[in-house]
Amino acid sequence: MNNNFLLLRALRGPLMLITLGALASLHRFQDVSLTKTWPVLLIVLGVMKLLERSAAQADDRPLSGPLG
Amino acid sequence: MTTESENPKPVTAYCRACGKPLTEDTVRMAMGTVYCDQHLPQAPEQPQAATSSPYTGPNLPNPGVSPGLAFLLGLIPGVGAIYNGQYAKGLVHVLILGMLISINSSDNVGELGPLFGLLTAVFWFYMAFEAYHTARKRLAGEVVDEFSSLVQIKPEAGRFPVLPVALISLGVVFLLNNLGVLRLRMILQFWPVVLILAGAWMLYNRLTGERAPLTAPLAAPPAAPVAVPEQEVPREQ
Repeated sequence: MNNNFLLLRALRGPLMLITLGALASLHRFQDVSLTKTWPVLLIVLGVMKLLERSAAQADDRPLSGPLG
Repeated sequence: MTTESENPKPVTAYCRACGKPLTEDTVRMAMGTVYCDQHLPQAPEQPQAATSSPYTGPNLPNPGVSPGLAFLLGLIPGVGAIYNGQYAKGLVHVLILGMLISINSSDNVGELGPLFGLLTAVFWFYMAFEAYHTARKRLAGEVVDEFSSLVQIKPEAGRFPVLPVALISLGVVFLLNNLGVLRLRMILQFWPVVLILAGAWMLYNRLTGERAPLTAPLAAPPAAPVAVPEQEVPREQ
């Protein structure tokens, strides 16, 4: 039914955390400051939201999430 | 994992309230959170509970919740949300505030220092007021989900995906600025274009017969007992 939507929804938090971890690693071990790369988190979140929307529309279920 | 052998259908989610494993058929979605049948919140029944005798005082379903304490704890980053049982939101609050402070203290904040300084101050008070309003909702017996009022945009299927596009474009703009490809100063001098685009967007909504999203808060009846926190923050600035 709405497996894809639930899967994407569940993946969002871990993926954000992994992204933050990768950026923090770059900050720590390479010379790429976290103060420069933080917008990547916004982009990842936006892409996840877009994917969730398309999954929800493919499943034909109403969107009710607070994060849209 | 053991339930997979007992249930013919695979477990797809777990109830937020009791942790019971749920299959595709038993998943109940409410306010963007997964519940089982027993713990599905029933929002429409709340106004009936509010009507009580004037002599007995308000009949509060959750008398142990203190909005004032929530406000005070909300001044500590993330703790206000934790008091309300919204741990993920507390984490998000701490991440956002920490990111803002890090940007402030970095060398390449440049001419945007005042903007990020103000954002930090506003966000600090936002956390306190947000915890206060969430505690008032809980006091009135409303069920608040993990991310309540983090973002107020109500999604509708088929509508233009405002929030994802805004997030992505903001991220791209800030990233280009930070990498020195396209300075934010050069983009910001074209700010009147935003007004024109907003006007064009409203025109499009009116002409296509859709309800314009910008008029929705004004048209809403004043029956809601709790104000939207996002509208409270700018007054505090």
